[in-house]
Amino acid sequence: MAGKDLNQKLNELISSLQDQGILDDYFDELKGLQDEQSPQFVTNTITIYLGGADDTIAELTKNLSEPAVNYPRVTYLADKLKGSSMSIGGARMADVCAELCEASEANKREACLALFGGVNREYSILQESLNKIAQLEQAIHDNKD
Amino acid sequence: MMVGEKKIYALIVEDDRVTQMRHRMLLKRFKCESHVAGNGKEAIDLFRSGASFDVVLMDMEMPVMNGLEATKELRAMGFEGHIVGVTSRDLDFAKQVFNEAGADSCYEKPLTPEYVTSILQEINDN
Repeated sequence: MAGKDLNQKLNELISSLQDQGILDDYFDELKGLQDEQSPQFVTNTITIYLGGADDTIAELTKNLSEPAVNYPRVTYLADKLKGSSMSIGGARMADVCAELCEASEANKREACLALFGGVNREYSILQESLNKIAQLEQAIHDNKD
Repeated sequence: MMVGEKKIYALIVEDDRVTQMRHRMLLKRFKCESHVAGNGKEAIDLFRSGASFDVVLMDMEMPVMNGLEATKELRAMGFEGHIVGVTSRDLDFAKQVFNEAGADSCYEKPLTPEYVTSILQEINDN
């Protein structure tokens, strides 16, 4: 029964996040790839995503604080973060990364800084959401053992 | 991926770990053996060391050597297998440049089961 409640809680959380546009169908597809042979695939993928995103955002922070912005590097990092976010199903995060990518390709410093603020805000929301999902996934996994 | 009864061996050339994990699991669902290279140079080195693959899923933007350069190099080396460009950038542009580099097709990433089915069909048709 506890397991059923946890699954329901997880499904309701995911549904709510999708209603808000924080997650999209790509997250459902990711979750659908989890199987008995890889029962912690979702949790592991979330861990990898958050670790990579932390590093990429740290490097973006450094690059965008330089007097002379290395726009090709910023473009590459924003595109990488966009791709990673798309793969985890982080729709709003991917969208704002795409906008940052465009601003960087156009060498628009002020737009980059404003959009990077947006990246940080969306990442904070996505990070909290994914951590909640990971906690529930882990609890479901522990409940099965 | 299975084409007929033959197991397909895929090389995922991708620098993002999340996408690597996702694509590996997806290909496993289609009973495909996959290997990962973190950039174009690693992919080229694999082929030069004698590794053999039926299909290469090639990301566009990667450090050290990008997907377009790696695609051109693989074709110059004589690789005749299927190369599929994978991109998170503008798809029409990516299709054009990957085609010019020698790829067989190009898809948006992350790949979906429908895309993999389509890729499998392309391999089957060839």
